[in-house]
Amino acid sequence: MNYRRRLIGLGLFALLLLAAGCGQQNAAPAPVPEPAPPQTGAPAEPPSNSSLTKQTISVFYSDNDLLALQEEKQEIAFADDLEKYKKAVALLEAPQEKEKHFPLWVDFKYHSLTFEEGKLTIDADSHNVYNLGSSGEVMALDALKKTLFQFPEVKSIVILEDGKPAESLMGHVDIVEPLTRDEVAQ
Amino acid sequence: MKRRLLPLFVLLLLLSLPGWAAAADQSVHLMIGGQAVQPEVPPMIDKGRTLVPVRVIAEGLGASVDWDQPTRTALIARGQQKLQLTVGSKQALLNGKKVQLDAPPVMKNQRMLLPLRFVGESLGVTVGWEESTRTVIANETPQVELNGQKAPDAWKFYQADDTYYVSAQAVADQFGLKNHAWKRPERGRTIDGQLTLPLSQLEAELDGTFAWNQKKNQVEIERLSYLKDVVADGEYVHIETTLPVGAEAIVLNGPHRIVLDLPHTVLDEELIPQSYGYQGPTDQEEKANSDADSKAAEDDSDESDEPADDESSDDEADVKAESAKAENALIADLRFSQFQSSPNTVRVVIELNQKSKYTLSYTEDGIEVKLIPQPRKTGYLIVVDAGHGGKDPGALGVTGNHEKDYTLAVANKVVELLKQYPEFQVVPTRSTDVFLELSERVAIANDWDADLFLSIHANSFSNPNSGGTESFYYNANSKEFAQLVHKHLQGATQFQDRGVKPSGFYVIKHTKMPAVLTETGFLSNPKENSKLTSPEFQEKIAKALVAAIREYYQSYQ
Repeated sequence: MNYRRRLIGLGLFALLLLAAGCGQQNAAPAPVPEPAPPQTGAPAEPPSNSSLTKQTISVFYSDNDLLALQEEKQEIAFADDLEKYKKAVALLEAPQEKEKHFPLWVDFKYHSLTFEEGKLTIDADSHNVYNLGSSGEVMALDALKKTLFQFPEVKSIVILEDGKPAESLMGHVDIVEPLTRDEVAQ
Repeated sequence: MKRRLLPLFVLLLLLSLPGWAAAADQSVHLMIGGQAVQPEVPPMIDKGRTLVPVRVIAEGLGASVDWDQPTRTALIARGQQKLQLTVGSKQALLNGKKVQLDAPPVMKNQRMLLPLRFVGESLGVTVGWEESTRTVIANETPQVELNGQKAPDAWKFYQADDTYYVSAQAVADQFGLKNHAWKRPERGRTIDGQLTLPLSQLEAELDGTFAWNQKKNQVEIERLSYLKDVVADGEYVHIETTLPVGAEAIVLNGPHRIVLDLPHTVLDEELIPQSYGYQGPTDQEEKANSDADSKAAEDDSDESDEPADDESSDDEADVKAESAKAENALIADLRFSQFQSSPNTVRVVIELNQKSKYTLSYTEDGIEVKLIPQPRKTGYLIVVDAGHGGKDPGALGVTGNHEKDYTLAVANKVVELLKQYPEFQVVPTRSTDVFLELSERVAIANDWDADLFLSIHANSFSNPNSGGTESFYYNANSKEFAQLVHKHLQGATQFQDRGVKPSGFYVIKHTKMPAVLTETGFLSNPKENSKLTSPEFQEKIAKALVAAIREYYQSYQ
């Protein structure tokens, strides 16, 4: 009993020490030189998290008879590049000219969209129903490529299904290899 | 075994007594030349390397050691090998050449400690580490003879318990016995992470003789298997050997052959005259062979003028081949030869009239080869591919119908219709609602060496007004076929003509024969969908596709 009490005491002591340590860290922050507020009247920069970058981008759809891609200019606002790609992908199913332009990506769900060293990886949900034939699949992939490759930093696109490499999204075109810029029909 | 362990255990206890610098579970034991050695300064481990006093090296490994105090350098010599090590330096000189050490020599209690494995192996000594007993095993590297020839250098022999232990798998590999299951692995030691077995146990498990000639410090392994016979039996070939051996197998085409190489195997004397290429003493290859061989050759010297590739020179082999042909046309010929004499390797060739897969099973009496003949192409072969299937329903029709059902219905009708023509051989990629990867569809067509590939699909789009028939090809050899298919198909559907287009869809890109993918019409178009789901219309489509194939066959073949 005594022994245990001593242990508890020790534990408490250790906790105290830890707390003290933490407190000390908090109490003594690294001295950040705080420049005096500029008196010149120049506008202070707004906090970065509320500033969204706006950009007009090209998004691609089919014409009304599945014959050729159609370009639309749309404006997006985003905080970072990842959001930029996500908004571009989301716009692939939302043409503004709904009579003339038909989306090739409808109800497209994906688990994640990540970007690393020029490679944009979209992990698609395997339950997606694309409802396109062979020519539609080619056009859908071309629309995706043209929409995402307008961003110069995107060098290749990898499409996965449920985290795993897939042979094909819609059963006609293989997506085993990353999609690259050289394949995009201009 | 247990009794053998006891002294070891006692030794362990002794070693762990106080007075040792390191704690018991940290101590390192030494076994040199099969004997436990207890140096005055205990070995220590530094960064995974065992360091031992110079004296251990000198006495244990039979090396001469000179110490040069001013440069703190040890000069070690053993036979022709000369090694120079400096305290604290990771660089050593081996026969005058610079070499890098993982762990430098150190001074401890005024004694120099040297990295044992490095020094040992540099001096041609075998060094191993038995983790379970924390023992460094070092011994002279014995000469090893395997069937009278030098054994592979990679074999390591560790001396313990008055015998040698050798990596069990390395030995089994030598006889082609892959993944060999050892009956008594507990009789071995795990040295450098590998199961090693004593010679006696190897002999008990593998037969042959595994002997240690102590005077010459030579390990002599005799384990030669004799090929007794090669017999065809239906879809089996029995390769009979006196000892179990494994085989390296390769498959050759034109004609189809399965070639099996049996290591450490020689032809039984009676089989020599029947062997492939046998023609008596003039043959270059035969010169290297045994006396028995040339004696047999002399007996049959009247045949020595026959060309090497003429198998009819031997009546018995001929009879055997003939009977094999009569029994089962699958096996065209069986031959065997002493393919190599260093090491002795027997080659068995199974020549087939039909491409076959095979499995090998190893028995006490040799190897059983089971042949699995692959279907043979008998006519103008057409692969009919119903798009999608199983978990991939394809496009959705306006009435909730699935593309995969349409493609299968039409494909099955095409297959039935094509079967009426004896000149055609038809292979469907699927005849039921199953999923196939695109690569599997291509593999079927390419493996069969098909003459035509036709993939049946139906289209879909978000605009219900879109419609029409379109056909695709990719490779240049497919254009004419695509035009014919499209002409007949569009003629049958009377849908809008969307034309013949090149496009790199997987199944038409990777198939080697003329290949076409066709989209009959749009399931998303209510008018077209109602026709596409009608069995009469599907029959019409199937007939049109068959007409296209018939016209292509007649025009281009």
